[in-house]
Amino acid sequence: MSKTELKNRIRRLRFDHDEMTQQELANRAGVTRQTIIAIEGGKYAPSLMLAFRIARVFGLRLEEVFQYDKAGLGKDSGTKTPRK
Amino acid sequence: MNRQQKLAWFNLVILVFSLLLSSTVVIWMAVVLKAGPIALSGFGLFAICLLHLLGPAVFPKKRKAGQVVFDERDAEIARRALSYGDVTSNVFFVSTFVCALLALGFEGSVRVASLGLIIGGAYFVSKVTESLTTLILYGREPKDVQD
Repeated sequence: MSKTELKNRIRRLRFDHDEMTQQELANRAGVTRQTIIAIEGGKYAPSLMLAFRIARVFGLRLEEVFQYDKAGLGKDSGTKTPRK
Repeated sequence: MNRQQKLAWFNLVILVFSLLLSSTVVIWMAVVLKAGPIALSGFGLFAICLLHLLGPAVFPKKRKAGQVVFDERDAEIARRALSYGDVTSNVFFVSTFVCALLALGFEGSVRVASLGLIIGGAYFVSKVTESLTTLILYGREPKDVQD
């Protein structure tokens, strides 16, 4: 799967939470370890439900874990610059 | 490597082996035995590719306590692989009939036995695409992203 425009702090947060392993996070979020690896590497954009579950594991709000990459805006977001 | 990747490799190996074996038999019948169009019946051996259906029995689901073995990403990859497989088999079908039409014309005719070849070919193309798509979408698990 290609790189997504969704950035995340999962790797940082895992280390901040007693060096939580990918497997431990996967178990608590209800996914496989491969999926956590893909999300951390920005190769997979999780569903909204999974994103909320991951945020809940860390006890944070969704936007504190995931950020939308604004640099990618306008390319294929469907938004157009209004004409003057 | 997870179960889905193992199944994809298993399917790929069985399908390619079946194709190579049946093609070898067809060439042998055509060249050595000079069997003519009958040599195409060697493609019947391609039926051994159905052994790939044993995949789920060869790689049974192993569920460790508290671990998830199939999640939303696996489902998404499986769905995409299946749809790519469907698309390629449809393209194969249509292109086969268009080629036959162009080669033989509106009044031309083909042997009924060749219909089996077309169906077998479409099945092969569909399953190979599905397996390759699965392997590509999973990609390589990076070694440096261990815990």
